[in-house]
Amino acid sequence: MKKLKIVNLDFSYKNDMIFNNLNLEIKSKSLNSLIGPNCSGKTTLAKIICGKIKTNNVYFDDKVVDRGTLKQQVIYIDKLTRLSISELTIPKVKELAKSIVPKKCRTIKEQNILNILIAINLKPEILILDDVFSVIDSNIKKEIIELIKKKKITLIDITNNIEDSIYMDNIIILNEGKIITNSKTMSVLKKEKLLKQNKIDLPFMIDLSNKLKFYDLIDEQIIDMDKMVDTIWK
Amino acid sequence: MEVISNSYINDKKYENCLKIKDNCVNCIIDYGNIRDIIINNRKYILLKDISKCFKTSSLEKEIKYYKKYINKELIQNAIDLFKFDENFYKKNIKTMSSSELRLSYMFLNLLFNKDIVILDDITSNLDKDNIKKLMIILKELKKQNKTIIIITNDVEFIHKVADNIIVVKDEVICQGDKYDVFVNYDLNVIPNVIQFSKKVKEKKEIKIGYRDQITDLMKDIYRFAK
Repeated sequence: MKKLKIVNLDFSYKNDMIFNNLNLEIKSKSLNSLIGPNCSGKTTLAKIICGKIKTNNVYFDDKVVDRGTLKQQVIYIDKLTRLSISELTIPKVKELAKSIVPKKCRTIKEQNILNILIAINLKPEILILDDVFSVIDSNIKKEIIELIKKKKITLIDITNNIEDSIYMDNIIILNEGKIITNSKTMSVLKKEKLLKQNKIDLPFMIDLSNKLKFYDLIDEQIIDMDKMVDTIWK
Repeated sequence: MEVISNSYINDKKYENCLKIKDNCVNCIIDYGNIRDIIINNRKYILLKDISKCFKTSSLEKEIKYYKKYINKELIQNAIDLFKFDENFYKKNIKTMSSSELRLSYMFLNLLFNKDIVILDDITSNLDKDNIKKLMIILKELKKQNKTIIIITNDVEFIHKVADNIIVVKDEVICQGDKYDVFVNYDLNVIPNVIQFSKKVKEKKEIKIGYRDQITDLMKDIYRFAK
């Protein structure tokens, strides 16, 4: 299985040491949340992964990647990104995109959704979204994530909204330039002490499930709100 | 809480509809594309890229730039409130992270000492500590009798701070306090804690009450489930 690896990364910006011997492994086709306090280095790490910051420590499929190859393999999107419809190569998709989103007066939400859809169509190995979902409604968010999963694209979603992590396979916590954990979502969300130490809240349904379980009102964790209501009031 | 009349969005007049209440936190949920707001004949254009509102290259230089127009007390008050690290004032704005930019922008707002403060998409990507800081700053602004207008779709944050909520898409869809807007209208996204109570009412016809926090919601569920 192809893996994205960052190996023994040391990185400083002027006099600030940002990463000291950082190691990270991300499996291909996985959906990952990258969470952490502000200024922990999330965006810097993302820029290293996509090659905007040059280093020799990024490996994909056990080969060192340079900026050139990274450019085709990794797409990085943040709120200021403006991907153009002209980058789409399939005519049908291009026409559809043009009809859905008018050229002028695009809202940030529309531009973000458009960016993601264009990126998915370009079929990168890895897609990095830097705080992009915060302006997109949760129902659309869910559909987009399912589409990314269907297309087998590796996703790194940089966010401070823990609710997004429910849709992801793994949570990576980055704090002060150090990887605190990189594990399956559900196992990270069970570690209350770890989350508290890193000032991360629990997603609403998990928090509610834990509390209801404590009072014996439900037996197991429930993520879907409709199911939860039906379970409590049978 | 008086109502400021003559409120416009994107040059469309909403005099009878858009009610910005003074001395409180107004939150505008924008389903469209607000580019500017006119209040009392003054136009406020929303900057999507905050870094463009800085005139100099660091906070220290910004303070020097505005020093002639701002009294020392305000500057000291802002410094005390934000508790930035000493080195932060010298940091180059181009190298600031998104959260640092936002907080710096809030800092400048405090210095400007305008009666109306407009904040666009202020919370996205802020961590727990910074959101707490933001809430303290909003409280301080209210104390100074300012009118705050926050444009955001972050309903969880709105639920924590809003005194008045206005939902807009090309025209005013609805407005009122949080229990009115979130409960009585069919919005795309509402706070989880309210959505849960709404679902219980819709599905089981049980009124468990609309709460601010999950701990209060738990008490209601416990009461009505037994």
